[in-house]
Amino acid sequence: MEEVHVKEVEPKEVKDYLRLIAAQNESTRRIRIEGIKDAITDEQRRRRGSAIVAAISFAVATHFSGINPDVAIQTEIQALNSFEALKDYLSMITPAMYATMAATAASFSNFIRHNRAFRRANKEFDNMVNNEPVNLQDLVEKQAKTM
Amino acid sequence: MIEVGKILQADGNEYTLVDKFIKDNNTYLYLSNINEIGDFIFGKLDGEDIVLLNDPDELEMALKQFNADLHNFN
Repeated sequence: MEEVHVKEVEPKEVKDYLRLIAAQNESTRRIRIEGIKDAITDEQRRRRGSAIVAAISFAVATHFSGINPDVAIQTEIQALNSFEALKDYLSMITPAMYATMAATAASFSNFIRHNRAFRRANKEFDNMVNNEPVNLQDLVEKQAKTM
Repeated sequence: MIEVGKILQADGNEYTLVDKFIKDNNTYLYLSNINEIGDFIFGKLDGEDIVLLNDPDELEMALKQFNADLHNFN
């Protein structure tokens, strides 16, 4: 039974997970806030709108990690159409933006999925070890007999 | 304190604050680059800095909270 659990810790998955963690660690971990704009132009207001729509769409795609992010984003954008405040911005999402959003969402979906697999494997490994505790008394007796 | 919808300059870019929440004395931020769709930042405030989340458990917790916040429009 334990062997089955060990097989679930596929080296490739663990390796992929570690690679993602390493990538996160290598990225800029701290950024300085240089300023907050009080007055913004119409152009900045327009770009802010599309950035917020993309961010809202992305959030749902990551939440449903495990399903196709492309489908999640498509569904989400349709749902957002019902919100008056966002309607003006939806038409700004071009196919290129859409592709970028889907790719980013897919990356995070993989990240979370690998994290879950890694945690599950760790837990199963701990359970396996705890179920077969080392009997130190036996070891001492065995050592004594060999002397 | 940064307000949702504000545009801030950081790392040579312009980001808008999409959402924020406070948990365990940490202020978590969700930022979206207004000049590059798909460039998102998930971090937490540390003085004048934003520390990017690189712990997967913390990142997942933050993503779920942001998602819940952003889909509770009513």
